[in-house]
Amino acid sequence: MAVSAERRHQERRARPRPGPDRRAPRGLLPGGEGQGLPALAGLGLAQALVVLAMLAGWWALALGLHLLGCLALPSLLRQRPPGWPGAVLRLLAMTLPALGPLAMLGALAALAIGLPRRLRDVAPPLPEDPLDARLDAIAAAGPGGGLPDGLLLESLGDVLRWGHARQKARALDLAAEPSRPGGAALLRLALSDPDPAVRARAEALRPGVELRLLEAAAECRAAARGQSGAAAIAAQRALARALDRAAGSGLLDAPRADACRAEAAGLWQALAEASGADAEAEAALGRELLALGDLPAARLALEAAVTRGAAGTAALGWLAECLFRARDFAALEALVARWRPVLEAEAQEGTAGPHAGAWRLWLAR
Amino acid sequence: MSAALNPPQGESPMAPGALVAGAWLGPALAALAGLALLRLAGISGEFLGLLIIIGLSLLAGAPAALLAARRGLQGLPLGLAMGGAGLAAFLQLHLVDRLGLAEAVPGGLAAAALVLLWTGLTLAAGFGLPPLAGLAAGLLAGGLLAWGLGGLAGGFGGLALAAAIAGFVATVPAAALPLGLPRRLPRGGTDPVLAGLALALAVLAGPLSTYLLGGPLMAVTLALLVALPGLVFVALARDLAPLPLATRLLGLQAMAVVLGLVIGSAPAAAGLVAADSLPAYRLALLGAGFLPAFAALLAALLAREAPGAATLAAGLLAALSAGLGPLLGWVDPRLSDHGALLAPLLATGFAFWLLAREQDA
Repeated sequence: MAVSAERRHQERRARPRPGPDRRAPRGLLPGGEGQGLPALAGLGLAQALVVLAMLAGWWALALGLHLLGCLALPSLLRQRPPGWPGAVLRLLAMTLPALGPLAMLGALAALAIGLPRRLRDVAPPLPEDPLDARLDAIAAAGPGGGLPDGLLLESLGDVLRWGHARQKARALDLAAEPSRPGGAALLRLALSDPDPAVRARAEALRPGVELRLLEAAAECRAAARGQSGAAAIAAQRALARALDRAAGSGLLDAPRADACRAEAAGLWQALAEASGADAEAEAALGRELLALGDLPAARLALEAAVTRGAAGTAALGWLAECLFRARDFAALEALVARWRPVLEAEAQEGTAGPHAGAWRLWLAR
Repeated sequence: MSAALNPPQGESPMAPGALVAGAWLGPALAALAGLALLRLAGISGEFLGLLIIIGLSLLAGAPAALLAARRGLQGLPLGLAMGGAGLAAFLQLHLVDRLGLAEAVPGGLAAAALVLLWTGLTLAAGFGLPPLAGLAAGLLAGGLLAWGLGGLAGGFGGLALAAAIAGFVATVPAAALPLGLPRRLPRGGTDPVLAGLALALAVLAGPLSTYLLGGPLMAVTLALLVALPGLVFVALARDLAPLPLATRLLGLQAMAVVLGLVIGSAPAAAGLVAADSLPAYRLALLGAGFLPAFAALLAALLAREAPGAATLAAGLLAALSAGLGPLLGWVDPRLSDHGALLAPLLATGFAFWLLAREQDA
């Protein structure tokens, strides 16, 4: 019995609550200075009519007008205006039913006197939320504000981890802005966030980003169509990179991502065959084939890229992954033995490459 | 002072000393202000109607103020207390005292506005904010209204306007600060209401029972004035430990009582107290001397997490003030005036015992 009561209590607490977010701070000073004023003016007008009716001796009319004014209070309060006028409006809603025009006069006096000096000087403004400040700074820096993608991801990731619902939503909106291509990675993270509200928001934003990635690829495709010679090769390379980015964003659904990869693989293959010694094209081709599951072809392309030596350690990592998936451990050990000095540098403590951990394991054998 | 300005999140401001002392100080000062406003409106001799308004406002306002002090400003209790006090005062003035609508409606509004004032003053004391700006503005506006409108309606309307403006200005900071989150209290907040009701009854019981039994009302009420300096001391001394404070208060009050006894015949000479009730006045004066000490002890009890002991002490004072005089009069008619002396004395002793017992434990 006690256990079930406990569980019921926990379930009730975990259930999302209706109404505005209670953890969202209710600002005392900043912002929203003018929001409550129209409502106050309307209530003041109604109460002035009540006073007129009372002075004329029409008590029933005054009571009726007063009750009408009271009926309007809940809808006025639902907007929850912030700041000093909001506080005045909240208290007015508590006192107006009993006090009528006197409460209105009290509200006018409170507006005229303003926030007490001591409260203004000593306690508020309430401590600024650092996450809000960070979001403001990111929004103010603008798209080309020199904010590296890594820093953007880290900042917004912190907001996703520590912020309240409104801040998380704002972080996702910032990440999904068309001018921030790096934000797509944050959306991919948010898709597997423990907070269901964040997941839902990211799902809602995903189609827009997906469409944008595909549109970028389509633009490149259109640009590549009319070119020839060296310009055609450059346009093809740009198209292949755009397709790579779309497929690697993690936001596309699986068939569409595979279609992008297949198209990119064809382009990279054409590029590799055209120039004969294009390490980037071979490495990228190998990676696409690896992702598509064509392990022998991927192995050929990656080995070619690695043999040329110009593709960097990323190609080594992909090749190792390809060999591992193909269960050719002898070839994998030979690869490690052949490239040991390079891999030792890659596997050093403190490097954050995607394969550093795996290299450490294989080098220790 | 800054600790008072920055109460921890979710904790409500609480100034038990100001709250308890204010329960006696507020009505006394409101009665004086009301009398002045009535005089300004050209009315003299409506003291009883004023006392009814203030008494009803205190009865409904003390629980609301205590609830606000413990749990932050909440709309429903405040609205209910204001509506209840206003309606009760309106019905009393209109149906029982046979006043017209033009007088009874301002009277009801005055009771409702005084409830807001008590709550606002309590919250302002909790935040350490001086309510003087609102009080001055309210008194100015109320005085103008009383002077301009004239008559009983003007007097009551002036009081209502003054209390509404002062109360509103004092309460708004509490509505602006993000307090009032539910705080864990035993029995979901009924305890503060009970404590507030007991406090209001303790303030009202003596004069009320004297009035109902046809006793010397003015003698008992006027004697309470001697407690005012001590109560002001309690209201302002927020950080003193209760027992040394009570000891000092007894010394201060002894001087005040001696002064009161020396000039004891002055109220009689002024015609405020009948000559034959002068002995009762002297006894009430002696009893009122213990009131600040009782208030200091009650404040210490009230500052605890559970206000049960404070409720008990205030309830005992109310019961003794109301019942001891008639009981003694039933035993021996010559003893009936001694109730006004014995009730505060016994209640102070009981509160001291409650506090000392908890401190020993």
